Amino acid sequence: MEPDISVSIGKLRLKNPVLCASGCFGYGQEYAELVDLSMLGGIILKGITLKERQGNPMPRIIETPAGMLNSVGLQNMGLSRFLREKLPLLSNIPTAVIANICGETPEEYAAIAKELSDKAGISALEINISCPNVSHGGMSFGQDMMLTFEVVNLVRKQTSLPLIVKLSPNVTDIASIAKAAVDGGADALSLINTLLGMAMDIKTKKPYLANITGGLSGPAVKPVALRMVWEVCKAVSVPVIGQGGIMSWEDSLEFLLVGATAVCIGTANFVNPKAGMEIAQGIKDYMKQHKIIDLRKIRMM
Amino acid sequence: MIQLTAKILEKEEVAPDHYRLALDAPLISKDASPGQFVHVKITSQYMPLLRRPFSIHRITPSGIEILFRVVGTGTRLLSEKRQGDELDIIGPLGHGFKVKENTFTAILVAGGVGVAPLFALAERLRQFTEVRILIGSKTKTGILCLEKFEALGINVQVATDDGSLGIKGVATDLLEDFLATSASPRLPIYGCGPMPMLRILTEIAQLYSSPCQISLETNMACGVGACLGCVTKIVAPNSSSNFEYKRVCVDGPVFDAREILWR
Repeated sequence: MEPDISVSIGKLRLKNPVLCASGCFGYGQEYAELVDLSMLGGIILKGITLKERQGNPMPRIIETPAGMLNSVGLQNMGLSRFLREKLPLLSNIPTAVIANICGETPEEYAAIAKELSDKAGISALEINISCPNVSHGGMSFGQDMMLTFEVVNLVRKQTSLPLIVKLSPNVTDIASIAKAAVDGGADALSLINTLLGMAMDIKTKKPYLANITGGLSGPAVKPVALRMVWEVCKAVSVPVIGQGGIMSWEDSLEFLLVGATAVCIGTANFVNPKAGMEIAQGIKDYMKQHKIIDLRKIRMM
Repeated sequence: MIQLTAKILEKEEVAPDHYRLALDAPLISKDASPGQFVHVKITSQYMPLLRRPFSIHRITPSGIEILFRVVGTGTRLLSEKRQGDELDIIGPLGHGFKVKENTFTAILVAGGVGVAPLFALAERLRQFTEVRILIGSKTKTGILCLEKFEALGINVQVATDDGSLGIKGVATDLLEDFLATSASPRLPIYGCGPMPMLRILTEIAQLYSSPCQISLETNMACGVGACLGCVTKIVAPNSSSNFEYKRVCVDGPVFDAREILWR
């Protein structure tokens, strides 16, 4: 019997548990020549803000051991240009498309959510309260229980779309933030966003990144991500999308074992654009080989 | 663009710390144009993690060639590959040089390993126009491809910082001398090299009203326009800050020199 690898994130049904992460997969089209998008469980779009954002100064990326730091700073065209230029292309993408939204105030999040709620081509929203590279909003919301609740609750009132809240690892107690997001009305949680980090150039005695600090991603962060996903899965009953340094189907299984419902692929896309496809296939092959019919049966002993 | 596994057909150490690899990739070369690049995965380990972008040095029916200098861990590991080894590559990527067939003499200006994309361009341009190349480097061992350009019938002039080959000076000195004495106005200029050189090149091109295209080099993650990690400042008069960030990987790597904001 063919294993069923479809999963539910609230009302959203994904054909498989492998998503491509916001900021790592553009608007889908960038990878369309290299990747069979229909083999992905879904795509999470580059973060959208109300107004256009220029982003941070360059250099914005530097490779670090088994990882990379980025300080892109949410460069994006803003909501109105997104609606004109990108939204019409989304209906052609043969998998679920999730919009990632970010604001400087709770009201901005709500305004974007309202505007995107009735748009064909968008299946769910991911609320980004965890971007470490912006001076207003972003991670500052995700580091405070009350603000997390406030943002999620305000967005919840504006949309009936499935609502995913993306959490920051740059907190003392991620379970309490996770609970606040669920209390605010989150249908699912995704974690982790990047870990705040830094790298110095000893020749110039300056930081490599113009923004000085950036978000660390890649295989280096996986143990931290896994621990946090495990903590959150114990604390809440909504589906959790695990991410942070996943490079292979084996890495994905670790997240599923600690309780994640789905996984999200970020930096791995840069290394191998076919990573998402290959991971989805790898999970399916594993289930066949071990005669597992239901993905939910993959659980920690 | 396509992702494929390419066998290394030839490997040559062209100068100390400088290597040329010929890759078996006809599916990439058939669509490639001068100035485009390939994104190369050097190891299946996690260090280095990211692919490395290399401009296409030659386009042949059997594939492409890259020419690189060893600057860090990634390029060192790549230099240790052997003929017959396989590399996971994506390409052709980015926007290359725009070439007008009814052009006058084309002037190519290279700094160091910046000759890499200019050789593919020279092979294309020489089919319909006279080509000159001006190459600069710190010292004579860094002057690459001299004989190869000459074999194409291309006029080569050389400048070195220490005067060990050609004139003592830099490639842009050669350009100024040539333009000052040339009877033809507005000769098209194509450049690749370190940013300070490209900045001076741009100023000279503007002084002589020459159209000028330059190929930029930067760190990249995705290489396909998704991550916004490799941006550069582009003049944008309608923006409140007078510039916008464009992606070197898909909006470049070749830009009209007038577009670049050098501040």
